Amino acid sequence: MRQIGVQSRNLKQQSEPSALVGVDSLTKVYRTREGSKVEALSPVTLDVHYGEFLSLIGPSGCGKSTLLRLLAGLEEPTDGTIRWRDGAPSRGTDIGFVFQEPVLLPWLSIHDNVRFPLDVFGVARAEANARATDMLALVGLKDFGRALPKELSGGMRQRASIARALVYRPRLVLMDEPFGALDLLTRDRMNDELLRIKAETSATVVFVTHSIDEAVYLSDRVAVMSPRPGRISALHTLDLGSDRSEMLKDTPDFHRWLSLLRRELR
Amino acid sequence: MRAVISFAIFVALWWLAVALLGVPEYLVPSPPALAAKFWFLTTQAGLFSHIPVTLMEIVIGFVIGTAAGIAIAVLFVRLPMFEIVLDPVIIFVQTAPKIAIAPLLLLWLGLGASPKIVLVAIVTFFPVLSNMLSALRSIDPNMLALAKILRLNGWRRLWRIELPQSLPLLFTGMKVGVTLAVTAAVIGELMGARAGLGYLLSLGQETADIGLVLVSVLLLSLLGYGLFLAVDQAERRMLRWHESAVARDRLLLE
Repeated sequence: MRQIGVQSRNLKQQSEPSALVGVDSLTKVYRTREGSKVEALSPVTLDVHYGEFLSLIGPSGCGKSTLLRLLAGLEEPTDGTIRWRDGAPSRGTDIGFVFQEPVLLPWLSIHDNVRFPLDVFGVARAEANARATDMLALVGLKDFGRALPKELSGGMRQRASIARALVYRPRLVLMDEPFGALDLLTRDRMNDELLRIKAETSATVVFVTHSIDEAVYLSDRVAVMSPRPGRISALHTLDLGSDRSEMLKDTPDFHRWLSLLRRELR
Repeated sequence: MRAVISFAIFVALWWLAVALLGVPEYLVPSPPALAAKFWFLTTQAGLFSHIPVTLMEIVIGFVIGTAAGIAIAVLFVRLPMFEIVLDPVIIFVQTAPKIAIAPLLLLWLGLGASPKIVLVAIVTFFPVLSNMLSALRSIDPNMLALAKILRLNGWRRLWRIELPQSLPLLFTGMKVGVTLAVTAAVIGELMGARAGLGYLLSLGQETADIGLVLVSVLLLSLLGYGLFLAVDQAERRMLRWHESAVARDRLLLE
């Protein structure tokens, strides 16, 4: 029985050659202080495709952040495997992570914050500076390189943090509700910025959010998650095309997806 | 400017009080009498050779105490075993009255600068250690997650993230430490010394020389104030990025 299981799994992998990362029966169990167990993630199986924008959406406690942190290697799974197509990440350069807060180093200028990963990886000074400058221009912070983080608005800080995550061209960019702390207008603008940046860098993105609008607007695929225990309850490929703009939000297709997801999340 | 005005008012009041109340010169000398005493001590008695003695004791002890405080804090956070073993010892030394430790140090280390340096280092060590510990322990978990993502480990993480992030609290500890340091140096010198401002203080007391005592006290206060300003200035330079810099600017404007 076991043999068959392994074979079918292999077959499945071969049938999806576009997978950058394969998540296989991943579980995560936390122990509370009283000794009881909380199943944050019951077996989750999911492939992340090359170059796609995949959103994980669900109410709090559904394990979406846990799944993201497992992908990032910030936590170890209780059971299951994460398989990288080109080998497990061995260096820091493989994963870019954007937190809900910008998490910039307050003593470094915006430019130096964006350059920080390159310094850590030992990239030559001149090249690191050039790449940080390019990346700042890409996120629209060209004139703010010399500013300190505390001198910028929340939205600008978050852009700098996205630039920092992309500057070393990671294989996989993980975003944990990056715009959750921003007001709606800023959030809309940041979504458009993100789509543009994504198109220019052709990064693979896994994006955690609890906003249905955001998930539909940004994603190629949406994984709907539900809590207790955290699991993926539905996985949708959105047929909204690759050309996303404000106009999309007025189309019937967009609203069809919104109401579908809203129903599934209820 | 404001400091100059309040100083002038203080001197005027002092002079007036001494003159009106007829306080004898051997209890409280008038400002010109004290100035004359100061001039005499400077030109005839080598007053200025005593200042560097005390200053060096404070500075060397302060640097050693600060460095030790930072190092032990890092050690405790990295290897909790050490904290379990060393913490009671450190707290015991810290709670022992410094005045009681001073004779011990003098017996062990003699009348030179070294017992004072050790005493200064001890009193500086504790506030630096406890502030540094809480700084290292309260580092944003997201920042440590970032370090983990970038595979920034060990000493490199310490140098690039933890130490800069700890600077605001470290400076708080150093400011407390530097004021304690002046007191510790004087205690050491009062107990037994051949030079230094504390030595002059005890000399003045023994010979009932009120002018000498007052001059020593004034110089010690100035020394302490100057050292505090030096640490404060260093903080200002290094923490321009910190939120406290904004609050400070606001304070200066008001």
